Amino acid sequence: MQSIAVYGKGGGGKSTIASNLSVHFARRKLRTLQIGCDPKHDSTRSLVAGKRVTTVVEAIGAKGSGDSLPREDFLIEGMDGIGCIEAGGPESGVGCAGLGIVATFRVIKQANLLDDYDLVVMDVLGDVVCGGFAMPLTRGLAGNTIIVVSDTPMSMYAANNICKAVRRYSRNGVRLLGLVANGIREEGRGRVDRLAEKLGTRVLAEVPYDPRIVLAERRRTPISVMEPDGSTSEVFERLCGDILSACNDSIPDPTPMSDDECDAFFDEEPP
Amino acid sequence: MKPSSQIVHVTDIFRGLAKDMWAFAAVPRSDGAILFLYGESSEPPRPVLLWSPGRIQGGLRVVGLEGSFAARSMPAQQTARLIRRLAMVGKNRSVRGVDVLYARTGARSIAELSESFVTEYLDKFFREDVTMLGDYLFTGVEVRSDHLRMFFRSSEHLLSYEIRPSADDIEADWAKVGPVAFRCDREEPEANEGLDFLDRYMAFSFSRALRDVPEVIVRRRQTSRGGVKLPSVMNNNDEESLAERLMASEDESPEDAFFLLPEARIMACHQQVSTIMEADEGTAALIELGKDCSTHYGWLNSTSHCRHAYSRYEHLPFTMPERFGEGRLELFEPTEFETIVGDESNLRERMQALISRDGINVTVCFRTCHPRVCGVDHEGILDAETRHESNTATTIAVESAMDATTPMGSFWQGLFKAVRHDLSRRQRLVNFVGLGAEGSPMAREAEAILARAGVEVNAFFVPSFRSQAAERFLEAECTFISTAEMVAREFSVLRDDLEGMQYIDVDPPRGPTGCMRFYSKLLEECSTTCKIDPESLWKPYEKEWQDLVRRASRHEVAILVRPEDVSMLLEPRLLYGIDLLNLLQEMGFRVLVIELPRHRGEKPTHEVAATLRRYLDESKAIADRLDVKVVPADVPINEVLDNLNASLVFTEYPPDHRIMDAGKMCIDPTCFEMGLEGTLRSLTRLVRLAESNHGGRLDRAGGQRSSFGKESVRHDS
Ligand SMILES: Nc1ncnc2c1ncn2[C@@H]1O[C@H](COP(=O)(O)OP(=O)(O)O)[C@@H](O)[C@H]1O
Ligand SMILES: [Mg+2]
Repeated sequence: MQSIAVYGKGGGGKSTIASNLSVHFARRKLRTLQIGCDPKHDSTRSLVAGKRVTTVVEAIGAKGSGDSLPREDFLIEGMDGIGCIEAGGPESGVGCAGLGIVATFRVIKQANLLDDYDLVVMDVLGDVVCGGFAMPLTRGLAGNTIIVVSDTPMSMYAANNICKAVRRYSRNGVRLLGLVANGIREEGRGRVDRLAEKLGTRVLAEVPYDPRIVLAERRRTPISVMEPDGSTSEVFERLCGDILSACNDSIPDPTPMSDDECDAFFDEEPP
Repeated sequence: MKPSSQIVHVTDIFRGLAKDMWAFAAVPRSDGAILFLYGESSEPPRPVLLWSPGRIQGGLRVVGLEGSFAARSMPAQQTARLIRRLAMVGKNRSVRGVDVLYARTGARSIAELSESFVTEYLDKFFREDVTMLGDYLFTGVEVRSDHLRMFFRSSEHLLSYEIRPSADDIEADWAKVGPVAFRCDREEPEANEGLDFLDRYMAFSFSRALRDVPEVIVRRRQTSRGGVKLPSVMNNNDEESLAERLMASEDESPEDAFFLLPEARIMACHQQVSTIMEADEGTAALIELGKDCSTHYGWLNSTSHCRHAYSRYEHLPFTMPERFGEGRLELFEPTEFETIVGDESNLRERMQALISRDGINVTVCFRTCHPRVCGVDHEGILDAETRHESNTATTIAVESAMDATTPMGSFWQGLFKAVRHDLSRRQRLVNFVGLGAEGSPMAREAEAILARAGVEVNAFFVPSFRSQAAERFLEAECTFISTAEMVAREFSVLRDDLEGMQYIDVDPPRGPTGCMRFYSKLLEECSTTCKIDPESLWKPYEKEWQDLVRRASRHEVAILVRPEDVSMLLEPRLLYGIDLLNLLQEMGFRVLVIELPRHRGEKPTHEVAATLRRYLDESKAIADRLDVKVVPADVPINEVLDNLNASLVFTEYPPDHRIMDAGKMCIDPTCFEMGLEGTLRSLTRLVRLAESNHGGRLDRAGGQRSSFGKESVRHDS
């Protein structure tokens, strides 16, 4: 089993990228499981034609406990046999979403689910806000990470934070395959390259801003399925190949910036 | 001399404090406590001691005040009010020049008695030319060859205190506080009545600022490379480093090790326990927060239980302890779901029930991220519930003063002290320790089989047991304990403690022979007249098992062993009772033990190979499907793994990326379930894993090796 965790700031395109990657992995005959680790539980929506997935947290609530929860209670098969799981979580402002993630991974492990997949794609909420969201990293579940980033300071700041977490857990086999630049404006192109350089990583791909992505989202389908031969689909196909080969690379740990360095980086004039 | 408007009279401050606290006097004590005197002046004063953290372990931590406090000799309602009051005073205390509520935490040592001694350590209590005690003004310090002097001056007299490092041989008339000793050099002692106050105030402030305080809250951040942040407290240094190592080893795998550090196998239960008990004879709430942020609310209707349950709190100053009677443990444990979604309705109901009982005082205290992060508003709930209760006092102390990392052993011990001991033993009733949790497949199977022999299983104890199990435990006639080291060891504390119970050690049932041995021992020990043939128990599984064994025989399992890990293979009790070598062979697999060097890059010592050979000669272990290979020096671990024929590799660090990257599947101790059905299930899963060929599929899907940085992988669109 290989695992790829997609981290990045909220709204940055993680779910879009994760779902399209899952589609391409599945096309390569890899048994793929996508786990949405976001209380918003919309990670796999386009893979299940917009069907409502029972989240793991809901399943725990219904059974009263997460102990030996059968996989049927929370696993749903999406297109091309992609396994779809949503962790779910509390409403905003209450509860402990981190514990939701922790419980989700425990339930998945207890159901021996990972045995049946070649590849697990985890779509993890935003910044690593609390220990719970770092769970995929701490327990070594996420071997490979990619960070979705745009050219806005907030997004890059989050990327830097995620690098810190990756480095912290690198001893567990966690590594950063690279950044995926998403929806970059023309003037911001150089910035992501500079960021990658600063972080000691590389830009794996640039997903262009594509209004068809939003259209596909409205139709509850990944762009790579709506337009299998489109240029954006091509980008994902290449990215998918690059990720698979990068899984075998030996990759140096990222070099996150200190907060001061981060500020200085944002203050720099664009080239 | 300073203008008199700047002078701060310490006696005035204490008078002010008394007024703030509705007392008619407040007196600093040399041990750092403050004594408040209450009552009408016509009757004898009622003293209330407000202890400082220098004197107590635990107590109330009050927002706005440093340190933690506990009051004594006062009914709970009033204590609660007093402490609330103190919090308010604490908030306003900044207007004063001398901070009598201050308590320095972590004051362990003084590097030197230098000129900055007062400004550095005592600045909350003494300011040069400002602080006035009775007739005496503090005028400064002077460093002498081997000591320090603090000077005080009245209009007629000059007074000095000599301060030295505290030594064992110092004379009796010196006051010793933590690292220092001091004594007043006075020429005419009777001259001034303010002197008495000055003496006491000196000791008081020294106690608050310098005493070797057992820190009530020690927040320790786990900063080890891979560690998660986990606050934990341990007084004992050994235990502390143990806890640290435990946590570290849970989150990171040491280089080239496939077995956990031995200490990580100890069944330890990290709990932060928060308690406050200032109930007269009512209820105290005990809130435990588990390591994973799960919460257990224990309601103890007698605070003495708390003291028993957590021996660390034995020194807590309870009010009128003699009035606590025997009580029972009442428990409320919010479910994981309630914690995740922040559901407080049960908690609310529970609190209502408690509060509506007559004369009950509820003191709730909590800490750690959970209550706040989850938005469970204990404070609000209590406020709402108690608004109309005239006889209920509630004190909310945020960020409680106590937490502990309680090893399972002492936790059990404590818990058993708190439960009822008057239950009579019932025949044909047995307990299981470390043999599966209540409701688990193993538990259900054992219950069903024993039921046929007329034996009932009473309580199941595993690390995550629910506290109620402790209540039933004592009713049983005998207890079966797993021989797995971590279980036996943790339980041994209790074993010596609970008399009259018969204990029987059993190897956890794994594999057909292991299971049959287990059940025959169980049935034998329960000496039932009902005869059940253990072989007949296995019969229903036999055919399916043989098919699986045939499939397994095509596969090899690799176990990578450093010399220090070899005992894990020879002594199953060290590895959760899993007899790895024999079990895997019984399952049909070929087993390849690979000897790794003790340290990366070192020459192989062949220790493992030699030890194994000796073991196989001496014991009746199965060896027909076992191979041992030694890794020559300087072969990196990923190369070793890459070149294996085995489809499965054992690790205690699942999911182990070293193994997965080599295209092999990891197996770990959880793959070996207990019980008859569990045995079959385990092999089913292992065979499936062995046959899955994930690595091959990944390779085919496009995992060509490239090297990072050689060529840009970026594609412009
Ligand atoms: N490259 C892109 N071009 C246009 N729209 C995009 C692009 N990437 C993402 N979006 C849109 O942005 C929104 C947020 O994306 P989503 O994948 O849900 O982000 P996240 O999962 O990180 O919160 C969605 O409406 C999505 O359709
Ligand atoms: Mg999303």
